[in-house]
Amino acid sequence: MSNEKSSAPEKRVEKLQIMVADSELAMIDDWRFENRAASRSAAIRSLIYLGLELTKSDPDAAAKLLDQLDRA
Amino acid sequence: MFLPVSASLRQFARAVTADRLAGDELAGAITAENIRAGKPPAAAKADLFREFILKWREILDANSRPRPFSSAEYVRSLGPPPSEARLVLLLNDICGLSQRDIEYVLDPLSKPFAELLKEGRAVIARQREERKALIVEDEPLIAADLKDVLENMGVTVVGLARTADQGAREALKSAPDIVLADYNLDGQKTGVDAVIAFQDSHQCPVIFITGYPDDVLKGEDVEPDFVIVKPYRPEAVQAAVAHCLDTERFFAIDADSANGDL
Repeated sequence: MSNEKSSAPEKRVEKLQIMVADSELAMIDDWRFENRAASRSAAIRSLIYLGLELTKSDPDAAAKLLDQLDRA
Repeated sequence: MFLPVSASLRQFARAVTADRLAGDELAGAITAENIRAGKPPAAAKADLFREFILKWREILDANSRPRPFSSAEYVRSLGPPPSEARLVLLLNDICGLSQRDIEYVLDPLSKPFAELLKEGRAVIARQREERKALIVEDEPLIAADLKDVLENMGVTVVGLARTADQGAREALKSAPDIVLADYNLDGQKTGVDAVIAFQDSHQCPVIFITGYPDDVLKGEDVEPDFVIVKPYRPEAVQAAVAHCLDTERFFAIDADSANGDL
C-alpha cells in the first residue's frame, strides 16, 4: 500500500496560532466571504500572499501602509 | 444510517487528507465550484465524491510546483494520500456508497473492487493491543457494544465514562489514542463538552456517535474526526477507528509531534 509508514514522506505543514482581536477576525471573515475563500485558513494564506506580493511589487506603498499601521 | 451528503463529503475529505482544515477547504472548494457552475446543491452523492477525487488527483498530479500560499501548495504539503484500498474501505463502510458508485468515484480502479475492499478490511484486522480507547457514552448497552466492537479489532478499552466530566477526567488519566463519544449525552453536557475539557491537555482523534447527523460536521470549532450515525454498523466504527489510529496526523504546533511516526 502506498501509505505505509516506512516509506511515507513526511508532511510539510505546520499549524500556527495567531492572536487577533474580534474586530480583526471579522475583517478577515468579511474578506473571506467577499473573495469566496474556501476557509478562514485559506483566506489568511491568500492575504499573506497578497502582502508579500505587494511588498515586492510596490515596496514604497507597502512601507507606507506599515508605517500607518504602527502609528495608528 | 449515514450522514447528509455535504457532511459526508466533508468527513471523507478530512479522512483523505488526515486533516480537518485541509479536508474542509477541499470539500468547500468543490461545493463552491458547484454553486458557481449553477449545479443543484444537492447533486448526487457519487457525483460530488467523484469531483472531489478528480480535483484532489489534479492537485497531486500537477507537474509544476504550486504557488506559495495557494490551496494546491497546502494540499500537496499534506503528505501521501491513502491507498486505493483504504479509499474503498472509507467509501464503502463509512460513507455508505454502493460498489457501483465507488467504481465510478475512484475510476479507474487498479484492481477489482472486491479485492480492494478485502485489502482494506485486512487493515482493520491488524492487531492494535497497544492502542488505547476511551468510550464516553451514557447508554450502558451501547457502551458495552462499542467496547466489544473495539476489542474485536484488538484495541484496548481503557475506560467507559458516562458523563462529560467523567470522560474528560478519564481522558487526562489514561491518555487514550482515540476517544469514541456519544454526541448527545444525557443531561446538560454533551460529548463535545468532554472533548473541549480535555483537548488542551490531551490531543487524540475523536469519533462521535450520534443519532442527530444534521447537527454535526458544520465546520465549527470543536469537531470530531469522524461521525458515525446511530444505528451504527460495527464495520463503520471499526473502519473509522482503524483509519484514525493508522493515519499520520498532526495536531500540535511543534514539528516533532507533527511528523511523528504512528
